[in-house]
Amino acid sequence: MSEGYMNRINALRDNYLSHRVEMDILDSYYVTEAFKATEGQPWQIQKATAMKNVYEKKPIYIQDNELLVGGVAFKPRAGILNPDSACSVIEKELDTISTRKYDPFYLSEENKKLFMEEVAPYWRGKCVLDRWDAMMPDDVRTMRDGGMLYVDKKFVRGYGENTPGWRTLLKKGIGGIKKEAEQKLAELDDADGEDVLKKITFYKSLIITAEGIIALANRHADLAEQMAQEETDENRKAELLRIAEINRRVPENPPRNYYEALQSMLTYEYCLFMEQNASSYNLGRMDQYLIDYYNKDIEEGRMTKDEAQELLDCFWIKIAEMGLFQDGESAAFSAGYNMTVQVTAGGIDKNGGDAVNDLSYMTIQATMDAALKEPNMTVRYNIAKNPDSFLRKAAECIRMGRTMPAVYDDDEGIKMLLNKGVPLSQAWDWTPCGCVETNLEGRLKSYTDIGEISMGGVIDMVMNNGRSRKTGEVVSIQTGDPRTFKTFDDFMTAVKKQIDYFVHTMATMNSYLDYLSEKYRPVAALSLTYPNCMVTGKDYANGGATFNVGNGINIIGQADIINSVAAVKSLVFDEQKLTMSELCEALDHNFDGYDKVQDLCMSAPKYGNDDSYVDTFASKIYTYLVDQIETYDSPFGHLTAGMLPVSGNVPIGKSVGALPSGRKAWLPLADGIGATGGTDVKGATALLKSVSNLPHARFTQGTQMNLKLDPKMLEGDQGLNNMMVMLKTQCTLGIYHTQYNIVNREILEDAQIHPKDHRDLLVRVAGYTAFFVELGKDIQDDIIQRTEIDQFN
Amino acid sequence: MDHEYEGRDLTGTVLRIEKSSIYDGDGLRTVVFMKGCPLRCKWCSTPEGMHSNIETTKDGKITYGSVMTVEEVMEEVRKDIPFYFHSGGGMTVSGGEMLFQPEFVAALVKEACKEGINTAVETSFYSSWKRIEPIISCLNTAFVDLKLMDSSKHREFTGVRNEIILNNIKKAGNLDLPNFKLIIRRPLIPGVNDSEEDLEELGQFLEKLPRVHHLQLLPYHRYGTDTYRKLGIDYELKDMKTPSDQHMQWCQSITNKYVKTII
Repeated sequence: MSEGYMNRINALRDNYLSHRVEMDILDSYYVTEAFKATEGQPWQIQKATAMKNVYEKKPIYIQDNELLVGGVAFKPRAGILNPDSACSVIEKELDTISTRKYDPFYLSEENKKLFMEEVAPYWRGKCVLDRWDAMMPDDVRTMRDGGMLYVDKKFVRGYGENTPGWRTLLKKGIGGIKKEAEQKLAELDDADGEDVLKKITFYKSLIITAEGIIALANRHADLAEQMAQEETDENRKAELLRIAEINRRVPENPPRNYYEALQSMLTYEYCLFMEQNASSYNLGRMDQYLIDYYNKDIEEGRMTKDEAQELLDCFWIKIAEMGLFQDGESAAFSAGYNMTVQVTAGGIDKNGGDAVNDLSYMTIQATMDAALKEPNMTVRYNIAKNPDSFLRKAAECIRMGRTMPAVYDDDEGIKMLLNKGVPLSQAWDWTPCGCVETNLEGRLKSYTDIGEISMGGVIDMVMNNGRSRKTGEVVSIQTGDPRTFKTFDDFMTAVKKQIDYFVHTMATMNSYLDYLSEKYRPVAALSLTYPNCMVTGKDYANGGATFNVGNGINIIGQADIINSVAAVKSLVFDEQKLTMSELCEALDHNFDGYDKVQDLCMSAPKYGNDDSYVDTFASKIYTYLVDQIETYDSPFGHLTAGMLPVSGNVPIGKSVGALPSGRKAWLPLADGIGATGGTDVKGATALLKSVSNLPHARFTQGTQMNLKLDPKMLEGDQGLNNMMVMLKTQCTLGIYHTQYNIVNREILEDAQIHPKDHRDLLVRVAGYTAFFVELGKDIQDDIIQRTEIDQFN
Repeated sequence: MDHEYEGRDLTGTVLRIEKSSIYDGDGLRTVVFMKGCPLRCKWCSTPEGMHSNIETTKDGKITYGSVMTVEEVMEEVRKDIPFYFHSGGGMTVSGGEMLFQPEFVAALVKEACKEGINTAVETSFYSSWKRIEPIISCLNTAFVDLKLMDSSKHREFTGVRNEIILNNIKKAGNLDLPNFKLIIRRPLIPGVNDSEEDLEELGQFLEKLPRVHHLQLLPYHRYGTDTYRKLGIDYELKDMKTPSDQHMQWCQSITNKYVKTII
C-alpha cells in the first residue's frame, strides 16, 4: 500500500501533539443557561434543551488538513464538565486543576470567573455528586474514607460504558429517528395518565436533542463553506466544500458512502460525549458497520484503498482529540485523560462465520499510522474462525510498540455476554467496552464499572480486625483477632466475612447510584440509537434498552489477596514456620525490624508461577467473590463484576497496610490480574497458566491482563510467530484478554528524565493506552517496575 | 490423575528446568538440564552443569541442581502442554550431558513420548550405543554436538577423544526410524575448529550419513563467563571473541556443499 496519505496524517498528528490540555467552561455555561431558562420543566426536558443549547452555541472550528470535523470543546484536547453531574468538582479543585498530579487541565482566570459567577451557584446542592454526598449512608462513607472502597466516580460522570447503536444511526440518520419519535408522539394522548405523560416527555426529549445534533452538523457545514470562500489553495477549497456537503447531509440523513458514514459516526460520538462527559462511548465493530459502504465505494471506483485508509486515520486522530475530564481522585484511578473508546476488529458474523474483512486490517493499520493513545484498538480473536494473517497483523502492530491492539479470546467474550443474559445469536455480536468490559451495540445498558473493591483491603481488615492501619479507626466489620484463629478454615471464614461486607457496602452504594441516575441522568442523545427505547418510550437511563444488566463492581489487588492467603496457609498452618502472633506483630510494624518474617513471607508460594498450591486460591476466592456479588439485585438485574484496575492499584494501595504476601504498607497493589511485580519468575508462559485459574467468564465486565515484553524477543519472522503462539495459547487457556507493552526499561527511564523527547511514547496503563510522560511519577515507576519478561524466560 | 509407568520413581540430578525456550528445538520448549558431563570443553557455557553433584556458589547464594524423580520432572513438563500445542514445541533434555544419567533420561523421554509430547535431546553422544539406543527409539530430535574431527585435538579442547562420538553419529545417521531427526551442531570456536580444512572434513563426514537432517553452526559466545566467576572456576578462553556474521556465512558456504547448513 502506498503511503502518500501519511503526509496529511503526520501533519494532523503533529498538530494534535502541539495542543495543551485545557478545561472548557463554556459547555457547562450553556448547559446552565438552558436549565435556568427551563426551570420547572421535567428534568428530561431541561437536560435535552440544555444539550440543544450546547450543540447550537458551542464554539466550533475546522483545522488545517482535516477531512473529518467537529469537537467536544472550544479546541482539541480540552475537557468539558457536565455541571448537572459534578459541578462541585471544579469548585473544589479550582486552584489545583491546572497543576494537579494526575491529568491536569489548564483553566484560565477568565474561565474561572465565568464558572464561579454563572455556573457554580446554580448547581450547589443540586448536581448528582452533591446529592450523593447529602444522601451517602454512614457505612459507605466510613469504608470510603478508610480507603477500602472507591465509590464516587460514577457520581462525577455519567453514562458511557456502552456501544451506541451505530447500525441504527447509519440506517436511519438522526432525522429518521426524529421522525419516528414525532410519529410516536402524535399517537399519544396526555389524558391517558402519568405513564403516557412520561412517554410523551421522553419522545419530546428525543426530538429536542435530535434538532440540536442536526444543527451542530449544519453549523460545521456553514463554517466549511465560509472557510472555502476565503481559501486560496484550490485543493483545500475543494476539500472544504466537500466537508460542507457532507456535514449538511449527515448525521441527519443516512450516509451515501464511506466518507459520510465516518463523519456521521464522529459527529454523533461527540454529541454523546458532550451529553455526559463520560468515558467509553465505544465505536464497536467498525469493520462490520462500514464494510458495505467501503466495498461499494471501491467497487464503483469512487474511492481508492489509500483514500479509505486516510479517512480512517483521520477518524482515529479525531477520536484522540477528546479528553476526559474527571476529578483529581478519579483521575488517579484511571490516569492519562483516557476516553477508553474501543474499536474492535475480527470475531464472527451473524452466521457464526469468520467476520474478518479488509477493514479489520485497516483499522489495525490506522492504529499503526496514527500512533496515538486513542481509540483503544482491540481485536476479537476467534481462534476457530479468524485467519492467521489477521492475527499476524495484530502481532505486527503490537511489535511496533503501539501497545495495541489488545487481544480478546472471542469465545470468552461470548460467554460473558451469555452470562449477562444475552442469547447466543446476539452474543456473537458482542463488543469490547471501555477497558475490557463487554457490551452489545445499541441494545445493552449497564454501568460497567461503578467503583472499586480493594482485595488488599480485605486482607488488611482480616489481619487488623476491621481497623484502618492508617487511622486506627474501625472502618469495616470486625472478624476477630487473627491470633485466635485455630485453623486455616477459621482464617478463611474471616476472609469471606470481610468479602461479604465489602460487597454489601458496594451494593448499598449502587442502590443510590441507580436512584440518582434514573432521576437526574436522562440521556436522550444516547437513547436515540437504542431502538428499544423508541419502542417502549423509555430513556436508556430508565431501562429502555433491550437488555439491562446490573452494574459492574471492579476488583483490585488480585495477586495481593491470593498471595496473602497462600502465605498464611503455608507459613502459619501447613509448614508452621511462623505463628500468627509473629506474623501479626511484623505486619503491625510494617516489617520494620522484622526482615526475617518478611523474607519468609516473600518466599511463600507466589501467584504467577504456575504453582497450584497458590493458584487454587485464584479459582476459589474469585468464585466465592462473584457468587456474593451476584446475590445482589437491582432494577436492571443482579450486580456484576470485572477486574480492570486501570491505574487504581496505585492510589488504592495507599490505604492498605503491610500484607502477609510480604508487600509493605502503602505500596501499590498488583496490576490487573497479573502477578505482583518481580514475583513471577518463571516467565510469560507460567504467568499465563496461573492467570488461567481465575474464573474469567464469570467476571462479565472483563478481566485485564498486562504483559510487558522486551522488543528483542519479537525480532524477525520467528518473533512474530512467537507472539502469535502466545495469543493462540491465551485462547486455548480461556484467558479473556491480554495486552502487551513492548518497551524496554531504558526507554522508560529516559522518558522520566527527558519527558520532552518522549512526548509520543505510549504505554499500556491498564485497559487503555496513555502517553507515558503524562502519567504521575508513581504510576510511571509502577510500570517500570512491572516484571520485564525477556525471551519468554 | 495418577501416572503409572516404568521408571516413574527413578531419581536424577536436575540442574534446572527452563520454560518456553525458543533456542532448543522446534516451537516453545521446556528444557530439562541434567547435571554432570564427561567432557570439559574449554568454551563450555554451562559450567554449573559439569559436575554431577549439587553445587553452591562461593557466596552461598545460588545452589545448582536438585534431586528429582522422573514423575516430578514430568509434572513440570506437563504444565506447558498448552504452549506446545500451538508452537509445535515440546520437551528438550539437555545438560551437562544427558547421557550421564541414561536410565533416568530414557524413562523421561519414553513417558513424554507416550503422553504425546514432542521430545528432543541435546548431547555430545559421548557414551556407549547401548545407552543411547533406548533413548533414541522414542525420540523426535537429537541435537548432537560434533566439536572437532581430529581426535587428539578433540581431547586437547574437550578432555576426551572422539572415536566413540563419531561411531555413534554414524550409527544414528544410518538409522531407519521414521519420526527421528538427527541434527548435528558445530559450535564455531575461532581458531579451534573453524578453518576451511575443519569445515571441509566435517562436511565430508556428514555427507555420507543419510539420516542427518541438517548441520547447524553456532557462534561461540561468552554468556557463561559470569557463572565461572560465581563458581570460582578459571575461564581459559578469556580473550576469545564471538565470530562475525560474515565469518559465519563463510563457514556455512563451505559445509553447505556437503550438507544442508543453517546458522
